[in-house]
Amino acid sequence: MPIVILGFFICQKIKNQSISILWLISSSLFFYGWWNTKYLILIIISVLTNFALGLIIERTRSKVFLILGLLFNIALIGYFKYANFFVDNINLFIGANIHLNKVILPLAISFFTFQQIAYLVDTYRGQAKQYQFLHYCLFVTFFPQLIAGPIVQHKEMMPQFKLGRFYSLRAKNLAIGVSIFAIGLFKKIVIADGISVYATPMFDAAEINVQLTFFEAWFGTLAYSMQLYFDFSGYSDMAIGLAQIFGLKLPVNFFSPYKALNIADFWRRWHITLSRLIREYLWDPISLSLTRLGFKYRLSSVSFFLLATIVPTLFTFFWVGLWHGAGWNFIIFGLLHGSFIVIFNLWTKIKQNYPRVKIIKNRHVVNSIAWIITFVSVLIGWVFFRAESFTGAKNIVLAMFGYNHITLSPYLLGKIGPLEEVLLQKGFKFEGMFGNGVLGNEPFTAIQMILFLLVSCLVLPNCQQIFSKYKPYISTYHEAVFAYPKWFFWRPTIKWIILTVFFFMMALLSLNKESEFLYFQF
Amino acid sequence: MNNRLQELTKIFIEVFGDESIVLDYETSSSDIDKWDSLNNMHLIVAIEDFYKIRFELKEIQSLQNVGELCEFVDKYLEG
Repeated sequence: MPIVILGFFICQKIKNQSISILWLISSSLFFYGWWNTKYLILIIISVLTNFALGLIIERTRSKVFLILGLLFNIALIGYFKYANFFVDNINLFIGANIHLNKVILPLAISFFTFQQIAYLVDTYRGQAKQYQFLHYCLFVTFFPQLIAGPIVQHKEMMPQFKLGRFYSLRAKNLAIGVSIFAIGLFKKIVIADGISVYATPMFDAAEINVQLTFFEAWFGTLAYSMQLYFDFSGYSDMAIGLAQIFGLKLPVNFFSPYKALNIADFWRRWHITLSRLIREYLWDPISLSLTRLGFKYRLSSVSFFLLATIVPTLFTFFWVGLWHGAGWNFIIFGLLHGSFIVIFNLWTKIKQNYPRVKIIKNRHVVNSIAWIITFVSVLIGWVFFRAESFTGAKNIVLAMFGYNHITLSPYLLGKIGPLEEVLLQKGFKFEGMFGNGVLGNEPFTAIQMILFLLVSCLVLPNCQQIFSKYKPYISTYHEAVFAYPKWFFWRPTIKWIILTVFFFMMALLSLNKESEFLYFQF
Repeated sequence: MNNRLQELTKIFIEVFGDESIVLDYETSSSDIDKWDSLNNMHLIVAIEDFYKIRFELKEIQSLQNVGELCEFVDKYLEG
């Protein structure tokens, strides 16, 4: 890594932009090839083919070539990502016995494939200008973002490659980039990997039908929600930081998603670059044509809602689910979120019809209820997202809803007076809150840590806010106001240097443990 | 021009079910709570339906504020 930065610095001295870009492309491909040399050819073929198709489409505006390009990309990802899933299900449903050697999922194939699909579509629509070949290669392969996002768009990256800012290594960019990178590294290595020890055992136990207790299911899922968020957003921060070192800005991928007060807002804050891609290329065209259809035939409000809201939402979220992986649990995860969005829509419609009815007046109470509903929905979604099988997910969700009875600590027996009788009658038990040991030997330490992280997610500013004075990123979420004390904001001061060094040290000290990026397989 | 704004205001009020909506050229989706990506298409098609015009998808996606919306409508009604 330092070699890449050093090399870039030398290239800059030569003052030849093409050499700088070539250096970054070859470093990116080197990193990619490190993982699996065989698939290096795959990404190169993908880039060359798409660039060539882009040129043809731009000249001819031919729909045939656009469809050809889409088919090429879909075939590529279809084979490498979904072939096994598809064959397994055919075998399952029609009892066939087709044998297919396990296809190893090429690293980051979803990311580079969909970025290029978007590029082809934009070219067809006349929204992509003629790009230089080297710029295009860098747009697709740029290593900070290649492996786990953010999913960048050509219209926000290409113009940056032309700017002088990109080709000069500057102290300010370096300082900001390194600081953001350190925060991301800390989030990933220290927090996400640290909290994972409380999530993984619970999910493993669910797979082998262990009778999880109510509290184990909730805190295990909570731990996982923290692990996933800090892992993925930490990775995105690292990408933004690295890009900043080279003077490039990447789009923000997370904006404190767990602060969302409704599920639609959650998707505007979570994996933002995926949501906007899906919105622009899937949701918008489909919902536009279906809404037009609804107007054309003057549908009643119920059929209109079905056609113009339910159908496109479920369809879109089906693909969001499948994007994350080839498996039924991901499809359920997608459809679940699709249903949440539909319900949310229905709710706003109902509120629209009764604008004067307000059951609860206090704004804080309303917001708290909204947050709880949103966050619990998200947690249930994560159960299906993380669980390896449907049975595992079912076991956890049932435990979360008290199916295995709510078991309290036996120490409470004889200490809570008449309440004990009432609780026993309601089906509560006093056999210990954490009987299966999935939260380790000291479950209460685990709970403290999980809750501490949750509160941090809710009160602390995010990276975008901390660095808002310098804007080393492309804004993707616009929050009306945020009032944090001055010392929250990054400045090139001793305090922030010490913090950055601290983040690095903590991460390095934890690095010897085995660590894995959750999002690599997507 | 002002006429156009009044017509659009009526459509906005009908689609979002909110009598209190007041539009000017600078109004954007961040000013109106209910104007999000879910409701946007409903609004757009309601406008198409009222004027008997058809926008292009890339125009809809590039829309920044009500002023631009007025320009698009004018463009189609003149052309």
